[in-house]
Amino acid sequence: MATRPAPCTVRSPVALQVGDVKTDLARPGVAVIDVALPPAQPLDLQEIVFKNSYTAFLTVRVQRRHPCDVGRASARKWVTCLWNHCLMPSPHTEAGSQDYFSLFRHQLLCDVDQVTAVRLILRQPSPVWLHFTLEELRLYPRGQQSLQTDFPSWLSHLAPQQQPENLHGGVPDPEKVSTEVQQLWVLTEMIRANQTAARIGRFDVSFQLALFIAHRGWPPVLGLLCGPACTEGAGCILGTGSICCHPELLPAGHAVRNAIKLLGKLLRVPGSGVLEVGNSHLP
Amino acid sequence: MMLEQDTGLSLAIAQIVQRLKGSSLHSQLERQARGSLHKPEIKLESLKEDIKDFLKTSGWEKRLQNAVYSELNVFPSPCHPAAPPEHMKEPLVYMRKAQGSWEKRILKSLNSMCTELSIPLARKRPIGEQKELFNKWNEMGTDEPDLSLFRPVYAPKDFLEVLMNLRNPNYENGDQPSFRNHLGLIQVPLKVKDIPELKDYFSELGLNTGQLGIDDSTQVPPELFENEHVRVGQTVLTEQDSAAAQQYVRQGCPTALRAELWALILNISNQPEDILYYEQLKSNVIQHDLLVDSLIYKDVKLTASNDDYYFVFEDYLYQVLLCFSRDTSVLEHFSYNSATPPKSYIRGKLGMEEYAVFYPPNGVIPFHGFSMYVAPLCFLYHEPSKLYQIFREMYVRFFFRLHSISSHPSGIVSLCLLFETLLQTHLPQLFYHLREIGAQPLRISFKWMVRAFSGYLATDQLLLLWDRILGYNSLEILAVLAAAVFAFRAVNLMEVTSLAAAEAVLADLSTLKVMPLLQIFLFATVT
Repeated sequence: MATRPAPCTVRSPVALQVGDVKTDLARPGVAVIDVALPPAQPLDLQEIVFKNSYTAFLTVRVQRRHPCDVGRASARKWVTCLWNHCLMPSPHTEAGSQDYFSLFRHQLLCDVDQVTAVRLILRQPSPVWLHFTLEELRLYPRGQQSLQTDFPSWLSHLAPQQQPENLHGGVPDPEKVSTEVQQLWVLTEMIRANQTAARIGRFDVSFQLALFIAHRGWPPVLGLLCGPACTEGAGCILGTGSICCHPELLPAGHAVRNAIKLLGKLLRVPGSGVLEVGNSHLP
Repeated sequence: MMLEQDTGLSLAIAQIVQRLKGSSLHSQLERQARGSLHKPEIKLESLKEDIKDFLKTSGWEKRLQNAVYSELNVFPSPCHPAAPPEHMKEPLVYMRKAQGSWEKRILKSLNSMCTELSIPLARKRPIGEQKELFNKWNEMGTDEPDLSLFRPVYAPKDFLEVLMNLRNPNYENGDQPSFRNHLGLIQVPLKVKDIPELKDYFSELGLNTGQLGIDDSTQVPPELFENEHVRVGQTVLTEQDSAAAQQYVRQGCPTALRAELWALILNISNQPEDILYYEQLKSNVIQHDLLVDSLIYKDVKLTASNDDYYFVFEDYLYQVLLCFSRDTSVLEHFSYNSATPPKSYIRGKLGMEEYAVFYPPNGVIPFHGFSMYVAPLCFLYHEPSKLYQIFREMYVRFFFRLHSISSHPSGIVSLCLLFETLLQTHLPQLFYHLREIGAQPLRISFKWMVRAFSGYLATDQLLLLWDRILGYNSLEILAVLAAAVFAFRAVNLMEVTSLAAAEAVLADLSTLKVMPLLQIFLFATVT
């Protein structure tokens, strides 16, 4: 069987950054890679193969063409077919950082026939990495696989334990916290001994934006919540420096609301508060 | 999902079948099956089942099982099909590069020594010399060649410098101390186990499990644990089951059974063809003289011959190490080792790939202290060919990881990081104190770990430690023990004010009892 990937154009990743890319100290935690397929031939997707480069979580959205109403612009619909798939089980450390991955159609949340475009949303909550992206990205059409041999399951298995643990759910294990506090303690000792102006990376907040935390790491991703009328989907770029996030991708609930409140307090943003998911509008 | 598991399994099975097909076990099984046809209990109508039964009852099935188990232990699971072969050696690109430039440095040093002393890398011995070597094969230690001009290619200290400078180019490495920098010497962000994970991993070392090295002391009546444990060990040996043996040694080997149990775990049976292979290696040594031979001589003289425990084994060490350097079957382990065997070209054919040969033939350049990997095994095996096979298997399973740069959890980089992290979380005051006085703990413990504690611990203790390495198929226990030693000497170490003083406190480990230290550190300390 031939091992030919589908012809497609992989655009270079676009980092979603609030503020100026060069002057801002905080690094973006989300990037988007768009894959354009030749408009004439929609693809029945079988497998996505890539080499990871420091991406912790991957969301895949595809644009599908409805066979029944060909020709209408609205016939193309964006759907999320993979949500926050974990590539690096421990984002601060190397595990999985440069591994090869395959995603098969049976692992995806919905059908991936008649695909006209693919959008990969890359997330890296850990601030320790300078860059993150995906390399050697290839899409294989149905009826073909990257190799004749079958795949070991551990490569394609969406292990439930790999999902990021919910840090908002309860109090973390005190023993674990105390071991992490040791490092902080040494740092305070060192700062006391050596009073230098250490650079502390923090987010420079644009006050025109409503705030939310889209993921649990630091720096938090700042962005706009848009209403249900938005058809562009997660990660679309409305203009320079602002992000739109589709409500369905938000980890809804008290945790998010509390985080927004807390963040608002911390940054003393006048008027910042909870934007109800689903009812929100651009300010 | 069931379907997927099956295909993954079938890939692994295919890989193992392919490897075993070329082995002598395969032909032996075939011969046995053919021979069994003459037996009256094999019926033509149920041929397949009868032969299967025969292989089961005659113990051949067990040997096949052990071979499969050994393959599973040694070779990593199959890689993603899109990944290039070097990805299996080491997935992180910057680690591969670091290992590559380290190898270049070693080779440069070896080459410059070659030119300085104007000695060829290899030469054929004249007939007279061959005879002489043949005659004194068993007493090579009496030879006192002048090796003052030779120096070890590198020592653990040089290697530590390399590991300290290892950086991920994609990692925020600020000059200012921040939460991103590690406080120890190793600055690579690898995932290492924390104490709860280690407790879970080494659960058989827990306080409620009987341990040789603790529960066999003279104060404890043997009826409580020892007698029963020895009896179980004998059963494991009669069963000849590698997997059972591996599980068994987690609680320690009785001294009398250790040699056989280790051979069972490593799947070494010392068949006539293995002995023949060893004899071939021996004749290769006799025919050719290599530059690395002098390095081996020098190393044995500098380390094992000076050691109170091991000096008696000097002759064994020469035999094993010289044969090891000629053994091309060792090259196979470079498919999963981040290191790459150095190449040399036949005289006058420099740069022409078809005249390239691996040098030394096994691809491993010995460093200062290399012979200490063999020395403890001499206590267990007196037959040189068996000793040799055990050592080779131990090397391609474990020891190579202690001097190659990789991200493997048993690799030396992970061990160093595990040691530093454990010490820092367990004893932050001590770690901070030592760091402040310029005695980074790793500077002291690195040589212990590189040698797997050989030459530092008393032999009985060392063998109890290596029992656990074999039992868990992992070297992580070395880092845990290194941290436990620091914890044990913490009070004295808090008093010292210099690296030299700290080294003095930790100079003699020969009185330490390994198992109690490990147990206290992992299970009985409140953090």
